[in-house]
Amino acid sequence: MSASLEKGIHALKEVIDAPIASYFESCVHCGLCAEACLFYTETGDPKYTPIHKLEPLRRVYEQEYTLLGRLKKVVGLSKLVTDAELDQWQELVYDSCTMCGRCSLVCPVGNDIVYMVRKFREGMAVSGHVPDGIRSATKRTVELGGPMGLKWPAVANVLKHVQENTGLTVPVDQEGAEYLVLLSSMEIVNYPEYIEAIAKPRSSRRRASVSPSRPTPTRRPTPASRSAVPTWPR
Amino acid sequence: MNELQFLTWTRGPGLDIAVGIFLLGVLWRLIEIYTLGRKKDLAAPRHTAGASGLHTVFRRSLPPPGMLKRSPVSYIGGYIFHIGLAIIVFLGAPHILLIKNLVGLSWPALPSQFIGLAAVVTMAAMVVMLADRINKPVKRFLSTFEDWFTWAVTFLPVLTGWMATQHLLLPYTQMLALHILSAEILLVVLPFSKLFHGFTLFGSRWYNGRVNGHKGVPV
Repeated sequence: MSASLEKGIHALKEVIDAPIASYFESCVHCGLCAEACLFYTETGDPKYTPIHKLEPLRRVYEQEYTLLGRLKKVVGLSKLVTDAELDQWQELVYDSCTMCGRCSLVCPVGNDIVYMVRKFREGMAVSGHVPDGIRSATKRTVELGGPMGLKWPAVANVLKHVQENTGLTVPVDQEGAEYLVLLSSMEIVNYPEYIEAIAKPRSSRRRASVSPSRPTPTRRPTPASRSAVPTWPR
Repeated sequence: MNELQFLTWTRGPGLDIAVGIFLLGVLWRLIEIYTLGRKKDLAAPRHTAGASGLHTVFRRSLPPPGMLKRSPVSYIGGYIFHIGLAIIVFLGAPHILLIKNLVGLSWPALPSQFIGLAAVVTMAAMVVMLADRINKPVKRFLSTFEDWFTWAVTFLPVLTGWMATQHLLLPYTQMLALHILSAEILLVVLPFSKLFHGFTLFGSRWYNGRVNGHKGVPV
């Protein structure tokens, strides 16, 4: 077992709780969740059945937390989860789920399938079985501060253009500001007009501070969060 | 062992063993599952009223809008055989007598002709469900040995019980002994297979409803 797989299986063990155990025990393979899943209804391919997307997690649950499963594992009757298998499941658990939660709303035994997908992704991330785009965006967020790898000079450049376009000063790192604007990298780079729009009414009252001179972590678009003492990142 | 000794065994030691495994099995599985606990949800709840879990326990018994049309066999067949099984098990005169002997409680029974009819309807629904499992790509894809096995284990007690009362194929004594044996197998298998959904579905629905209530969309 590779180190990353060991870590991944450990992470899967960690996320399994009483609800997940109850859900796996309740599943009767009726297939109704497939009827609620857009990936199944659009393709007709049974592999997109929501509960099937959790098969490796189910086996970890069975093998680690049930008496019969542990016995089967001891005598070598269990099919263990492998790196190759998790790799294969990447497509199902990331690319083929929008986490819309329709499956959780139709399951006749009440399984919250989307909750399990969310938890399964945690283990997949730890073992490195995530799509490349997400992996590198995560790496950039941790190392550089944002998923797009945006650094201060790029932000300063955008602000410079905003100031030229509007003729206003965009205050940065202003101490004691009443408002602190938090934007995602995407908003800064692709939609500088957001900053322009915010700068106009704010700067007239001289109490806003836009974009601190630090890399921008990902966050939900929060145009202006009120804060007496700007704390960044929260 | 002749047929009478076989019947005596199934009604005596066989029943004790099966009921013992069933009760201990159910208790063990419930502990195994629900003592895993869960982390506290640190997100502030959007909705504080606590009935969403309980509501879901009941409401999930009905198909959500549009679903009946998408999978009519699952819903209609499912209703028929679950209700049929409940009628047979809890309202058949010999079964009520058995329960009375075991725990002392009893209640009025339905006429045996009606129970016989319920058995036929239940078996028909189960056969249709089996055909659907074979025919429908999703169900066939999801099915494992356990699905076919638990179907058989549930079907056999109904079949043998009905055949015993109709005096079909084998002498009554033999068929009755087979019926009791098949029911005992069902009791032993139930806690350790997907048939355990009969117990866990309440917990599952409750958790699901609770989470939705917490998110601010109680049902």
